[in-house]
Amino acid sequence: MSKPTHGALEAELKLRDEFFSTVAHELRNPLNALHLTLAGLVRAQSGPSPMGPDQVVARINRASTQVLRLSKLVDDMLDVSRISSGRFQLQNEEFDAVAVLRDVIERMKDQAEPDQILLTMPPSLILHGDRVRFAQVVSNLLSNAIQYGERKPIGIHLRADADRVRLSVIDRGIGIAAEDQERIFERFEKLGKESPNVRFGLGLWIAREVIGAMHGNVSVSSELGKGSTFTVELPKESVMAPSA
Amino acid sequence: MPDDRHSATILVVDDDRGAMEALSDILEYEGYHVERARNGLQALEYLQHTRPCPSLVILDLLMPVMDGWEFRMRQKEDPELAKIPVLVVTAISATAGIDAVKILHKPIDINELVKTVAMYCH
Repeated sequence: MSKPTHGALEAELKLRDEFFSTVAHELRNPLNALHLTLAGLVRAQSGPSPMGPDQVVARINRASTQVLRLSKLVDDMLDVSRISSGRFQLQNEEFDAVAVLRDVIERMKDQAEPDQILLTMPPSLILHGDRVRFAQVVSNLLSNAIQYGERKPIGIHLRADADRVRLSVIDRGIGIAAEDQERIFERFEKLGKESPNVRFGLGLWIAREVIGAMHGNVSVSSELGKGSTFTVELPKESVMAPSA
Repeated sequence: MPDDRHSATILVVDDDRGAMEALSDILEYEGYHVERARNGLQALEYLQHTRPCPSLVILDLLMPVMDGWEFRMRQKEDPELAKIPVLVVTAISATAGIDAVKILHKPIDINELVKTVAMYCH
């Protein structure tokens, strides 16, 4: 095996630095929210007019939401490490994709507006593959739709034909500039001047890697100011027998 | 709620829902009325269409659609809106080019936040 060149090593180090910078920034927001929530709770309960039990529980639930965000970021970092080093494996089990979708939506409903998420799917759709990873991809796509969906309705469509399963997550939010639509799937990329400060974190890169390992693909169509549609396509045969 | 409720309105501009909720909880507990915007454009539209103006704007910098720098530039183009003081809260250290009555870096010190807000909201 040949040694990497000085230039290749420098490029790798630069990528690693950008990765740390991206992750640090992603960690700061939930950390700040968690800190403020707890500090606000302590301030209120130490003052002359402490809050009632219901309000205290509501604050603790908000703190818990931020802890879960942090936990997901750590999971994403570990996934990047596993995928990058080839230590990534898929499970093969039978599951109902509709049940998985409903479960993900139930867990994320507090992040969305009431009745914001509209479902179009069959009563049941049995797949063979990695249930947890499928749920992770759905969660990543839905999380982005909520974050950048401008509180407008989000559609989730699941359908299958003879040889394909297709899942679409559709928002009517801020959209993504044409020149950024491929870059959002990269691990370390920041978007260009047409979509400044839009941060997809690591989720889309992980989603594309996971679906790719199932011989499928993830794509986006989007227009600035009008919204985005992320589509996951899985060939039925590959879903039946994933190989990682 | 504390007994000494204020009548002042504060506009909080932040795209991070967790940060927005945490800030709003604190300010509302202190007795302020809080309005919310998820980016600079929403904030600008709120200010252009709402009277009386809020006593203070609490502004994040890195936001999609319109960031904090552009919001400040557009705010200052309107003499009436330019009078509203702006408190910046940000996770980044590179805050060059932004002018504000104060810049607080995340994680925010709650005592400093409450003290600063009280200076501009009577």
